[in-house]
Amino acid sequence: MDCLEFRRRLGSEPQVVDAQARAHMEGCAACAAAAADAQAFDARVAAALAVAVPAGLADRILAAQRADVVEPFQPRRRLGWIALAAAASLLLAFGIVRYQGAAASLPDLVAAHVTSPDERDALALHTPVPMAEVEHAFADRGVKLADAPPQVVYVSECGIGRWHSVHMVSSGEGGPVSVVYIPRERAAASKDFRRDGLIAREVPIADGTLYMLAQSDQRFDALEHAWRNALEGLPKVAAGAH
Amino acid sequence: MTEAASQDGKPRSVALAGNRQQQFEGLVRAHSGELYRYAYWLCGQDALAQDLVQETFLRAWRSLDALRDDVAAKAWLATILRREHARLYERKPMPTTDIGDLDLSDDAPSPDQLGEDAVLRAAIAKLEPKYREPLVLQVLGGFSCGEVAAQLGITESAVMTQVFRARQKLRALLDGKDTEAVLHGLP
Repeated sequence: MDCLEFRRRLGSEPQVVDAQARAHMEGCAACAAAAADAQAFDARVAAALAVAVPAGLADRILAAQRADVVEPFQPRRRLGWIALAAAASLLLAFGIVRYQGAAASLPDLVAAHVTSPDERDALALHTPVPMAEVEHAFADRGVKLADAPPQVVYVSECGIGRWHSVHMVSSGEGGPVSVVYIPRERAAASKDFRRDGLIAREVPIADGTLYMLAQSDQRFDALEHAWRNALEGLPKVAAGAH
Repeated sequence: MTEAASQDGKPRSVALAGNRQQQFEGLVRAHSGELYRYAYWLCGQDALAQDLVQETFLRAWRSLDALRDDVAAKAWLATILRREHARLYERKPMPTTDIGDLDLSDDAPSPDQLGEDAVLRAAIAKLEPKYREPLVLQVLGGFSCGEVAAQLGITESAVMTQVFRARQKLRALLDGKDTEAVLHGLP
């Protein structure tokens, strides 16, 4: 490695972890001095980035989590800390149904999840999510995609009842479609149904079930085909077939 | 049907739930501060950053079984935070930063009085997000360029270029201009 290459790397990695770079630095006084200067500047940057953390932040997070654990299926609002409890009471007063895990079916829970205030905003998103992020979400759920997934504008690993899902939104003609994949819970057969004012479809794919929910089923067939490819791969042509 | 007991005699489900809660509390204690700082540099507002961190940890709680090991926790939490921030940004345009609201009156403290940190913070806040975010992940989060690339879904060489330019721009802002101009957002 020469000095020019070393100085280029220094701008990207002032900590000089690369073995070749370290070897060069040990033999070049000028580059060693440049490294010391770069590291001193980075220390200043680190100090500037370390803004004060609000006191009691961890305790407030844990308090909010405990409230979430007690009422896990209540729609959560983006409210102040103290208002969380008041919001829970208000929701019950307006007769919001609270699902108790096994008491409600999986289609019911999926519909309730995608229409909850906490998730509804995802329907307004437009920017495509990087494919790597979608693949990562599936991998976290123990699913290796067989092919490139269709483009989505939202992806999140969501707990739905006792199930672990990958919740996505596909935007396109006819409006957004909520797409939820539940791995390791395969429905017996495909089924179209309606829930919470939405048209929905339940499709067994790979070892799990894909749900699609939207105002219109205009894109359901295309999405089902695309997700079947992504999850199961293209059908193999038998040898000798035409 | 009776449930198998754990070693301390409690039902296994209670023991597992207890372990899960312990694991989660450990994550919050270990990472909430750093996550807050990352959130602050993403959105530029204290209250919103706290909200983002709360949302992040609540999502993390619900998906805790997706966390492979505690070593991966920081990157995993940062990814959830980024998604939460992106969702906010899609709903409405975000204001730039608290740092942009510095008092411009004649009584405003001088750069010397505010300290070097404030000047550098103002310079960092002026960076475009595509330069600021990888720099924050690298310097604050301690991630390598490869790890930053994996998180942001871009190539490692792109990250190396962006953090290089981020540092260049900071140096230019601090060395090429007077610090009063940097503080008050003057060109």
